[in-house]
Amino acid sequence: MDPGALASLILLVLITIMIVASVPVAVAIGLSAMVAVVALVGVEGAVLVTAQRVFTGINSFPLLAIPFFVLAGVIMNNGGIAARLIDAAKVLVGKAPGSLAQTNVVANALFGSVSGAAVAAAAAVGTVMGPRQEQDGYDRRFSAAVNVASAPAGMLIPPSNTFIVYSLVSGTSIAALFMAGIGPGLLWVLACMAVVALYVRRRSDIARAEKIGAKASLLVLWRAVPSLLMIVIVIGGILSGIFTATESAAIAVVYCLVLGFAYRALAVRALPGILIDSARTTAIVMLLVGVSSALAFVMSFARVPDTISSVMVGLTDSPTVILLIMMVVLLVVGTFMDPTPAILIFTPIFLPIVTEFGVDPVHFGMMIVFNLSLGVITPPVGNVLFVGARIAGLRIEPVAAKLLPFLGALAVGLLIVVFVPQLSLWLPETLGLIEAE
Amino acid sequence: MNRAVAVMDRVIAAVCVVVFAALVLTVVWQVFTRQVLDAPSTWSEELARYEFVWLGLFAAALVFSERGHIAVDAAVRKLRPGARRVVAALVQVAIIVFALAGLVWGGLRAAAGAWDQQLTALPTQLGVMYLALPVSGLIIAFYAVTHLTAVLQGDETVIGAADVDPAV
Repeated sequence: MDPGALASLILLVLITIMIVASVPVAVAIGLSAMVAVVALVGVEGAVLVTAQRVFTGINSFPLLAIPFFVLAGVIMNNGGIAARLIDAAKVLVGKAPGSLAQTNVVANALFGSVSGAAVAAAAAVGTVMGPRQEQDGYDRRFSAAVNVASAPAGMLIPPSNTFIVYSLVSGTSIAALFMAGIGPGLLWVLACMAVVALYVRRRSDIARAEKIGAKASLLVLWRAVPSLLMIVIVIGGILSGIFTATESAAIAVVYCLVLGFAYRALAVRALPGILIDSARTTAIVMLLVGVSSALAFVMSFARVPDTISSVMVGLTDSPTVILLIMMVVLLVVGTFMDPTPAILIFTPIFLPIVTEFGVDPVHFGMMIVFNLSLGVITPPVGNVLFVGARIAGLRIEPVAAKLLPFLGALAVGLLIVVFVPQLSLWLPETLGLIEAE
Repeated sequence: MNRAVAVMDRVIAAVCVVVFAALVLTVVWQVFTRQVLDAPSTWSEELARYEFVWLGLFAAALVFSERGHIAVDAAVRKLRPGARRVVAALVQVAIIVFALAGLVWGGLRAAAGAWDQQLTALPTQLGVMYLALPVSGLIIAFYAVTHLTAVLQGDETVIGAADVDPAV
């Protein structure tokens, strides 16, 4: 057996066993990569390569955007923005049928975008919207499902840390990914709103929304402007080339601090706690990124993507079928693995295969993130589902049952994202961030 | 042992707060010198990257103390209590092996190799920066040993894993 094949085999077997045995995913990746390198260069070389790759993997200026976006999000969460964004969402939705449920969807999209975290959105928005919907006659299981289904939209709508991670492993531009995410993100929101609209059509017991006067509406929207301005600063700064993504994220931190103090929602003595929370969150992602750099080394050395590619091409020569197989694999992986490790493990394997037959790496990023976002709302392991059910005071199963129509609509959405590249690529191409074909 | 863990947690948390605050100031300074003073700082990017490495590795160690790193425990949860305890012990052994071989041993070799390599803008060498690996590796191994002892002594609270992706 040649060393490359042996290393691939060791890697595959060890990583699977360790992940299934609940070894922290970062350790499973790092340790199996290290043992695989032993087969290539011996023990002394393997420990050195592993250490160097972990170090250089983290030692990256673009990666620094992640702690800053996390910090800005945590400051925002502490600053009581949820109420402002929910009110704004209510005005935006207006008197549409099922307006309270629709408000929940839109508020999750706004909150998810600003805070960058689907779990935080589901918790903050669901806590407020759940009781309100129950008062107006909504089934509690349904309103919990609405909250859970719409929470991941913020992972696609910029700024999004998931895209920064993808940008690192794929070598694509963060600005292009952020712009490309808007289309699929809005599609996610629309899919949820469509299901809600169909659901409420046959239910007369759900109260209609009261009309809000024009003046009150403007006031409500005005109050949400400072929170949403953060997105404008970040995106505007990156697009105009004034800031790099990392610098814009640092400016977002300063902006959120100023806003928090201005609203008197933030105390100086709360800052150490906020910093520690953000450091924890960042470290989990960072360690994964570091060890994934060791993993990428082994995989390219042992030519793992080539092997998988030749197996896949042996099965079929249709790009459509290959993309569908990948999407099914990722959906299955996503039900029990979180998006960040899944992106770090599968992008280096799948991306070279799909670029071979002309898929744009930015477009593939949309597919993989949209796909894995579905995994966070599905059992057996779905953090957003767990949090959404818990704050509604329900068990997982009844919420999951009500989620089915949403999952159906989002699966259709995923097919659209996969087979309509323009949805993702039109905006970044128009802005000149990637070359049109 | 528990007191040692508590002291270690507090020290690392304090280091993280200080380094994180410094990191924010460093990058804000970078933007300020470029946009406002029109004289871009020459050292801020390099400093920010190394602050980030130390912050990331120290905070990662802290998360090991809380057993908060992402893990997939859907399969393990179905095991009988006795088998779960064995698996929980092996998980800690895997962490110890990775920390001591990959981070401490490998990190020391990397540091030795780059000991004379001067950084471009900061008054120190790359080898010194590499020490973040063995230092954090020792701390991670220390935490894993305490968890392992607890598992072997039959403490049920250290069995099972967190599963929270912060990017979600």
